[in-house]
Amino acid sequence: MDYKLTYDQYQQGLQKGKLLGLKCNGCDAVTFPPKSLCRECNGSDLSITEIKGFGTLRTFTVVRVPPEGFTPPYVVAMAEIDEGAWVMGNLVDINPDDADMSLIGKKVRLGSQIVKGDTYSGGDSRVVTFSLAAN
Amino acid sequence: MAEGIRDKVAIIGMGCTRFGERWDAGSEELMVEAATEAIKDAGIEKKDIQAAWFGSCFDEVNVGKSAIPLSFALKLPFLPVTRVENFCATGTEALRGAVYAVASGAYDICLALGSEKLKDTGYGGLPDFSVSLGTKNRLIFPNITAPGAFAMMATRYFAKYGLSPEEGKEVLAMISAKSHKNGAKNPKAHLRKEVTVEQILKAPMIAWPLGLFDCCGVSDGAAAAIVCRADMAKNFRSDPVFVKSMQIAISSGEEIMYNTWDGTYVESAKHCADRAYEEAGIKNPREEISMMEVHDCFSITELVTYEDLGISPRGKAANDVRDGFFNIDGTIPCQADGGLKCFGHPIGASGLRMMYEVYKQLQGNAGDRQIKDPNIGLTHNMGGFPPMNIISISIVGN
Repeated sequence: MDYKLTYDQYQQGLQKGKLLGLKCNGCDAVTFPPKSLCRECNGSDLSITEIKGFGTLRTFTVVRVPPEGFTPPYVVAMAEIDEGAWVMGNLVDINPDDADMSLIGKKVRLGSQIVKGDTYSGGDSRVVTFSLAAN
Repeated sequence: MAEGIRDKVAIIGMGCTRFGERWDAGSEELMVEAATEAIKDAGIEKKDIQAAWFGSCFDEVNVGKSAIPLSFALKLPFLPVTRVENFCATGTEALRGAVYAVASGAYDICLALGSEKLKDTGYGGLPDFSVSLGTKNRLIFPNITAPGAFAMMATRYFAKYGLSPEEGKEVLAMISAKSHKNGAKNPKAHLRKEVTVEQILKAPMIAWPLGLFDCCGVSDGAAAAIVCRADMAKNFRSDPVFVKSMQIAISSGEEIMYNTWDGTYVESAKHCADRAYEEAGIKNPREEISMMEVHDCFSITELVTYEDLGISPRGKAANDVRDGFFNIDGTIPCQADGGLKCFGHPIGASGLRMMYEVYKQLQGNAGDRQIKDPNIGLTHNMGGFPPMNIISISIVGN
């Protein structure tokens, strides 16, 4: 099994504002973030593709009791990107106290933010974020 | 041709410590407490054990890695001991290892023991997952908590099935209230207090829409089983419990990374249940299962599990909850011992703790929690997050 798009390449993409994923040359499904095989059909013939960066918010929570080292409250959400995959990330640019069921189905724009490294990770890295987009 | 493990192995002894804030005991004392009860219950001596499987998840906390902690605690005489870890299915994995070893013909009598000592860190939730998740943490699960991940399943479930947050939270509260009612009667449970639906709804929010009483506790505890060849079992006792199936299913994470999953169920649980029912020869689980101990790490987990196991139709589990179907006097009592809700979740021990309750119930030894004439019991564990997880299902009968 080849690894077409490595974690490092994906991270470098995020740093430059690019959301890199993999498009399957067999079934056209987009796997994001990258993995070794197409998440839909198991195909290994994959091409690097840039995600357009929009999705639809499918679910969310407001975390009031966080893991050690994080400051509550904050919103974690899952969005279905326009290319099909579900992605988890923080919904930023919103007051967590205003989060309610009306968020579901809203359009979001993907971005990224830095998460600090710890003893067991390879330093700082970027993770996906969402912000509400104009419908 | 593989034929599975149905009726090849029997459980002839079990032990379970009191779960809770066990400041009085270290991990070793917990292991000794559970093993001693199991060995006595089986009517064997320690020297009869030929091999052992040990489950612990957060080895960093008071236990240590490898199989040595169990061998050390019980002074097992240079036996083959294997340590297993598979998130919240860890305890069940210890049992599965022992059962498979006996089924293979390699041994006649084995011990499975799971232990976890979480309270000493002083931390309220589970220890930090950043080490245990590796790069997945950075790719997929940034700063989500276990309650948060399951809360998102509740939000999605409410949205899909048209429950208002108030209606949805009330159903979840009924699930927790039911378990607290059962746990209040159980001397081995950690949280032994009845809690009303109203109290549950007023509790502080942990990760919306899940409040404090939608979440299971964090506890110390250990549980153990002695298993032997099915054809030997009646030499030890008249009422052994026979293993009908033990299955696990591990998600590849394809649920979250492609959109065939809609966030209101656990895909791997369906696969695991199908295999477990086939191995056990169960055609209609709603009619054939007498009782269940499911992985109620959160109230929403229990709700969707009713559906994933094929007990309640999709989107209809709330009706069964409202009808009392899973109450101790209902059709399929669920969490007769109080569940994770009242026992807390010392991860390595939980799967074996569930089996302890099923074992006692099938033998008619569950005291004032006794269910009327159960003959098939199911345990279910779920480790990880709704879109990427480990499911274990065990079915036993008399």
